[in-house]
Amino acid sequence: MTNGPWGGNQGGNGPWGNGGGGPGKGPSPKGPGNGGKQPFRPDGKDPLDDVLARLKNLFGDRMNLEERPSRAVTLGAVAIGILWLASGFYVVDSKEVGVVQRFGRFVGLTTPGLRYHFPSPIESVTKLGVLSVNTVEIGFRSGMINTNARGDNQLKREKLMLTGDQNIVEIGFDVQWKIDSDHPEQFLFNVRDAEGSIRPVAESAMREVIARRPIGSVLAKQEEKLKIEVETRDLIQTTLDAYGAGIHIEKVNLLKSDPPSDVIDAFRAVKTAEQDKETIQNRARTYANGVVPEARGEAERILREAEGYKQAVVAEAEGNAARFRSVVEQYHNAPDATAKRLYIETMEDVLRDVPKVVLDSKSTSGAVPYFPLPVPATPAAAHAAEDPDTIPANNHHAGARP
Amino acid sequence: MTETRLFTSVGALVLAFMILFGSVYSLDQTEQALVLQFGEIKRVVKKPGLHLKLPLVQEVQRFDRRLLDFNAEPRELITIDSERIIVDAFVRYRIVNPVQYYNTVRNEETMHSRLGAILESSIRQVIASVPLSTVLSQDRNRVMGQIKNEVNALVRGQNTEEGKAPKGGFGIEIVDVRIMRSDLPPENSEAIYGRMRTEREREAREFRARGKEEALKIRADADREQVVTLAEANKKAEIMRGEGDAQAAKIYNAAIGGDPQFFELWRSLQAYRTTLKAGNTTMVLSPGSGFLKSFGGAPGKP
Repeated sequence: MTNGPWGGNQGGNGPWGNGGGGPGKGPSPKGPGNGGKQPFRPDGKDPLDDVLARLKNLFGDRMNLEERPSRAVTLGAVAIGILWLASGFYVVDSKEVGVVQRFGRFVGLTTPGLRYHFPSPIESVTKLGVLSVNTVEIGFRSGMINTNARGDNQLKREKLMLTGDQNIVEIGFDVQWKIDSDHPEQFLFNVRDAEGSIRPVAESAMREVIARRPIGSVLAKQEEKLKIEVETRDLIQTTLDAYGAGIHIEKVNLLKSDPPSDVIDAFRAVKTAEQDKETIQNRARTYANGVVPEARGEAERILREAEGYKQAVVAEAEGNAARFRSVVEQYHNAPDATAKRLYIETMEDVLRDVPKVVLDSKSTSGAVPYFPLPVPATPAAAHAAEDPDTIPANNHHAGARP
Repeated sequence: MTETRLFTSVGALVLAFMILFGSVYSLDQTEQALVLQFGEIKRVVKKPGLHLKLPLVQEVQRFDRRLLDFNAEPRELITIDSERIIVDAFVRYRIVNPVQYYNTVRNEETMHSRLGAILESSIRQVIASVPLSTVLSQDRNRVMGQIKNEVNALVRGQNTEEGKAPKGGFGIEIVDVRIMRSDLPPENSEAIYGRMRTEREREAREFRARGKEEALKIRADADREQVVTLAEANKKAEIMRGEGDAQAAKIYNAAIGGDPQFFELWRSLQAYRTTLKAGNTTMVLSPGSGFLKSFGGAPGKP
């Protein structure tokens, strides 16, 4: 009826009735059904002319208010509505929990599975991984191939800590944490950057715990290290709870507690010295373990020897005495004869094998007999052979016996 | 005429939208807000959810409800015992009174710069009142608490000295102050390293000295025991030998009894047998005496 801005042959159907013509092919080539898709949402892409045309149709041409465009509009609206509603489906993983907000207000939690929420902007869901354990490393970075000087400097400052007796140690530890599964919403709503809070709180806590102790207990023993881990864990947890951060600290692991690299040699030297002390003492003990038993053994030997001597001497005496006693008996029977007999028997045996010289001293008076004596085996006689003035003792005996 | 109607209709629709969107707003769980009308504070909103306001004339100024953080720059400070220490602290605070906050600082940047100044002066004051050993001890916590109280007093407006903070405070509350690092200045570090080294050297020397001392003791004890054991044994041995000799002598004497002369003869004869052996003796004998008594003359009575 009317020639609108588009001119041409519009007939009584208005723009939509044309299908192929007019605005149908214009800047929004979406076809008949889509024109009515945003009844309440001004869409920047749709040309204003679309709206105007529609309005024109509704207001300007009451006689064209027929079923077809209205139905198309309604169909479109319904389709859009369904899509929009469907956007409210979501899946919560088995390790997660869903935090539901309605117009921004926290309304509840959802458990794992296929869930539905009113589509935005009415409701929104944030999924939090409440079962995963996360790790924060302090004083070291595992798997780091970092040659960044600035990063190195920062790391160095991070790991050097002051002890209670004003010594310096290098500390490396990690913190294992989870989102509190009872109140995961705290993690989202109470602290801005709750996760980022963990590192400074942890570093501060460890420094506090180290500052309470002398260097000896920080470096040395295993039980002390456990205590440090527990104290730090408790301190971090208390602080984060005061913040309402909704974080649960599982464990703190003290991975490295060493003297700073600048003085580590001096510390190693102490260990070496300690070992040296042990070694020296052990050597002394080995010596002692040798000497004392040896002495006891020697003592035993000495005693045995003496015992043996005693027994031998006594036995010899007894033997000789017995022999003498038996001879004495015979002697008493015939004293003179026994004595002579014994003498002659002895001489016989003695003189049998020795070299002999028979010299009649009476018949050679006036001449000094001189004869070389054979060189004997014994040193005393050797002396005598060299010095002819010495008279061997043997000679005396031979001449003296009656 | 339709054109005019068209445009008015359009205008009306647009207006309707503006009114609709301008009269509702949602407040997130993490937010709190002030409703302002032409710059004047009308209402404080703390409950999250959907809210209404007057469209077009009222606007919503949002603030964070969460715990906020602020890190102070590391500063070198002096303790009461004239020790220098580098302290690096962080603060956790909350906006509790958005009205006051809006009136005094309005945004985070400004807040941080004011906080920075307050924090620095409070830390300086507190550190200057304790010795270094306190900072490095069980009482570190107490020091942090003190700083927190100082800062809180200022930001809450309880302490308005020197115009550091406005009367009524900033509308924030300090929840925590933590000292991160409390390190000695680098020059001191070198001195500390030197001291650590000398202390270790001393320890090492002590170990070695004690080791030697112990070792000497062990050796000396062992030697002493050795000497004593042997001496004892020798003593007993000599006694035993003496006993043996005495017993033997007794036996001999008993045997000899009343025959000393015969014993002399008999024992001498034994001795001749053993001493005058072939190989070491040459006998020069005179006939007519001793063994050769019967030699040289005719047998019969001499």
